[in-house]
Amino acid sequence: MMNFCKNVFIILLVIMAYSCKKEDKPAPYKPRFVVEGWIEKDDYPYVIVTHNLPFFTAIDSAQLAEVVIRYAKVTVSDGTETEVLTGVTDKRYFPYFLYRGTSLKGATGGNYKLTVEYAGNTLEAETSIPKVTPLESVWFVSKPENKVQLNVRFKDEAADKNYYRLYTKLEKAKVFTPTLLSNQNDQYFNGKELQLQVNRGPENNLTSKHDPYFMKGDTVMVKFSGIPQSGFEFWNSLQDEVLNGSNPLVGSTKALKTNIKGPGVGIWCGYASTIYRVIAQ
Amino acid sequence: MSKPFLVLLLLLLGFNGLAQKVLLEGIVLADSSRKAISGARVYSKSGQEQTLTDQNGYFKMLLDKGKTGLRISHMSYVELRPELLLRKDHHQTFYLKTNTQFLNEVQISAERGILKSNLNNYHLLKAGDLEKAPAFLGVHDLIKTIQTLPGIGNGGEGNAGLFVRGSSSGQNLVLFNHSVVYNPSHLLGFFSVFNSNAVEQVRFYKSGIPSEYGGRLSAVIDIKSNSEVADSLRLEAELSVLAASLNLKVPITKNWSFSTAMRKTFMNHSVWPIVNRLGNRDESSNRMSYDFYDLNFSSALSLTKKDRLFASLYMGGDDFGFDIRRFQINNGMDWQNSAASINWNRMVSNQVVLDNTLSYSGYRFKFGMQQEGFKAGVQSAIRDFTYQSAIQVYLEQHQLKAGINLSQHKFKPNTPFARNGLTDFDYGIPNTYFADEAALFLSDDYRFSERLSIYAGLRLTYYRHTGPYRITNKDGGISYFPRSKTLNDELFLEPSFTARYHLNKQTALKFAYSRNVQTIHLIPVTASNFPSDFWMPSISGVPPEKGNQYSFGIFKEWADAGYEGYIDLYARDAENAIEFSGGIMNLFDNLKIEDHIYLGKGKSYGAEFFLKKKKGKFTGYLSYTLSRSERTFAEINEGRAFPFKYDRTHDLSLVSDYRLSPRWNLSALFTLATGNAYTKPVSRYLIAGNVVNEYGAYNDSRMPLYHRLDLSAGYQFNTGKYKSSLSLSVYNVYNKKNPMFNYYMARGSLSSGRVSVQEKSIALLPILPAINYKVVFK
Repeated sequence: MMNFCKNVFIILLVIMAYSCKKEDKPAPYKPRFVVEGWIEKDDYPYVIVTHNLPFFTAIDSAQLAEVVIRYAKVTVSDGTETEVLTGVTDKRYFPYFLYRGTSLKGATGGNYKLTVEYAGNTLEAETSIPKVTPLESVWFVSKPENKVQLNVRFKDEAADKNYYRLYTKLEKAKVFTPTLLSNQNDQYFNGKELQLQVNRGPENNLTSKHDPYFMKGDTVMVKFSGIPQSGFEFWNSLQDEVLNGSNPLVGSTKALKTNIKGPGVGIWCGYASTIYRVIAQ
Repeated sequence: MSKPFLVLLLLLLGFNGLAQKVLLEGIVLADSSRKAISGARVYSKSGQEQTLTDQNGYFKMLLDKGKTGLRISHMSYVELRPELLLRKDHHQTFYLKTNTQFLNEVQISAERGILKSNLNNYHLLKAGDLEKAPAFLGVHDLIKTIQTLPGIGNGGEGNAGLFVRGSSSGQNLVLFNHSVVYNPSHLLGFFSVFNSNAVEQVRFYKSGIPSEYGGRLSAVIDIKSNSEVADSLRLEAELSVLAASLNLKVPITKNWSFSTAMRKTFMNHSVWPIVNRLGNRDESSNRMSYDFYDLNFSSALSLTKKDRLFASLYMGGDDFGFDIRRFQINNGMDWQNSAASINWNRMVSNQVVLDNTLSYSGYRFKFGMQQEGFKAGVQSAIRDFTYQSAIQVYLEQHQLKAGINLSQHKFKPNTPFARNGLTDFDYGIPNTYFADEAALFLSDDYRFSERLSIYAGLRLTYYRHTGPYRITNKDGGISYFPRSKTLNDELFLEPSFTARYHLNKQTALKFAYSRNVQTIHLIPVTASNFPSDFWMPSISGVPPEKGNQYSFGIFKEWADAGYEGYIDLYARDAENAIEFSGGIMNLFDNLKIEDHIYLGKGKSYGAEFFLKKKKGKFTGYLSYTLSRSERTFAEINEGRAFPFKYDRTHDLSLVSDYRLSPRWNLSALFTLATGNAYTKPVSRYLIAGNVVNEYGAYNDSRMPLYHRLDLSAGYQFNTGKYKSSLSLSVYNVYNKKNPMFNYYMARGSLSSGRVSVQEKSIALLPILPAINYKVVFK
């Protein structure tokens, strides 16, 4: 028996030694550009260009200042007019530098091509602005502690393929924040009237502190946008990552959708928005 | 030495010394019920020859001519010592009396030799074996015990799957009294759906799958209840911090009895409040709730001396809740397994046994999610009917088995539903698939000589996906196929071969090969093998999975010293392995599953080591597996091979039991395994104020090493009419946090220029002590 055990032990050692051999793996981090661009109906195009970061556990202000790409050539074309956007400082949107137009404006049914050229790289994307769908009604429902919940109702147009995105902000806030489940696809309610109980979403995924309700007396801005399919897919995949990345029942190891062609990720999206100002009561 | 030469040498060695021997064939039956006794040990008088009876009570043995004696023993029966006068080959039936002392005798000796079961490619587990390892929270469990054997990985904490030799949990065939059980686990893998009080024995095959089993690539877990007619009333009640159970056996007539085993947990009133309170420290905390029940009914009827009927019914259900509080999201899952079968076993003659079974399996699953007025979910359902008929014929050196198997499946893998406020979302017609299978099988277990025996079997299966079936075309139109229409079919052969060669009485070599085809697939959806992984049949675009397995091992007993052990090497390959390209959220769409799966190849190999001590006060076993399992998919990692999620480089289990006194016993279980492979972020980017992860190569990172120690102590009270026992157990003694899931949470603010990313782990179970009280009336 001892002999047998000794032999087993030797076989084990040999196999263990073999199994410890490591193979070379390709470098994991791939540098890429990140594009976030939008063109609203009756407004100029805006484009933010940054690059991605390796996975450090902490990001400091120096790294954050460095992500922005300041000297790209950013062009938007509607097929007839082509405009090169100008880099400007904008305090509303991180990283506080973006490219914006001054001539070309978005219009319902328009198609817009974005080109970003930088250091020999070219990124391209196309989007369109769908029809405006108005909200039929906006109201509040009382909740405990002097709070109210926003409710909205709208009618989907049966003849069109529609995607929607809903935002809110307090009047004094700089930017709109998407609601908790902010994206809708009319595939499942085509031609019907849809009524939504709206919860405010967190400003971004760096915080989980958010109040789903408004206080009585708040002045609330509600923005309701029609978006194209590529925009819906991107925003829905971002929402999935934010809401479900920490859920073991669901998990997320999915790359976000993108409509950027070339060495980049992100979104170039047209919006047909209507903004409503309401007093919470 | 070259391989062919070695084989030849082994064959030559095999043909020796058959002179002056006669063949004795026998059937061992219970005296009262006439039920076949399997696993009875038959010894020749000299002790030179010994064997075990098979499931039909059959055995055969070569004995010297002339007057001889036998010893037939089984733990539940009084030992029989018949005297025989053998002039020529002989056939006889032996009857054993039930051992009424048995119930008072808790010691269940390690009886079955490794040379019998493992050479037939299975591990045999009996009810008594389950009690030798510490129970999780006081409950002994079958699947947990199987996980301690070599080559069988557990999926890590909170994972219900059994991962046999580097394959997925959906590649195991789990049969409970002949019915397929699709989801054999109650949630989180802590309990299987099999109440150990309703289990008599389990055969666990991981290589050389016999031809009577079909439909899965990897392993077979064949679980049987006691089908014997009970001869006396017996009532057992059990209570632990988790669950209460009640078991009853009632004889109605001398030939007819029924039994029930019922179990219900009340963890929502015991465990979860504590776990939730402990975990409630920060904003990212979650809330869990979970309970289950199961019911077993069975009835045994001895129609004549030769005909036995056994009917069995299983029903079980689970209800799980998981709330992510920071988003006010409530997740819920509930599912039910059901299985029913009726089996007629007829002993046509002493050499021929006919076995017929009609069975039903059902499985339902529902996953729901609610965020205030928004509700969404997905349901899944399976229904099977199966008929199997097999005939077993015992000839001198042959044991033949042949039969047919007919089954019909109905699957509704993903039926979504959603409601937002007052509006129900319209998902159109749910995916429904009908499929059926017809199989013929034939096998022979041929004993060439005392040293060499060979098993060869073949299974021929015709599979088809039939109507009624509706499919939405690319242009939005719907095509309908009626019931008579075959959409997709396939005919395939599955050979199985095992050669056993005894080097001497206590040492044997075994080579096994089998090729298997799997026509229904378990599509993995969640990050951690929750029951939401759903089943669907092969259809056009989702072909059957096919695999080959080779294994070669040496098996040894040191009967006097009371040890046994083996080393088994294996290699397997598989084609059409499946990975799902979406998450569970995609199931909320009424998607065509075939458009969202990747097909690839799998490959695994490894070495298994097992050493068991069977005698003495101190018993136990050590099992260790060194292995690799990898997959190659054109669409994943640019076609490079990546480790299977449950690849276990090392997997070690140590199970021990110490009998301190006739009343006290102590047991321990230590387990250690390489962590799961998972996909980790390698970079990130900023968009719309969010920090977004970019994930690296698929399954390129590892969870930390999993290890855990469980201890338990049991005490037997013995007070006349009824018996009772008390057990104390501690799960995860040194409170190791074994994470089941990692995620990454960014915190800080972009405007202030400080952002940190924390790696967060979800580990479910801290140290958990438990107490369990059991009482038996008879």
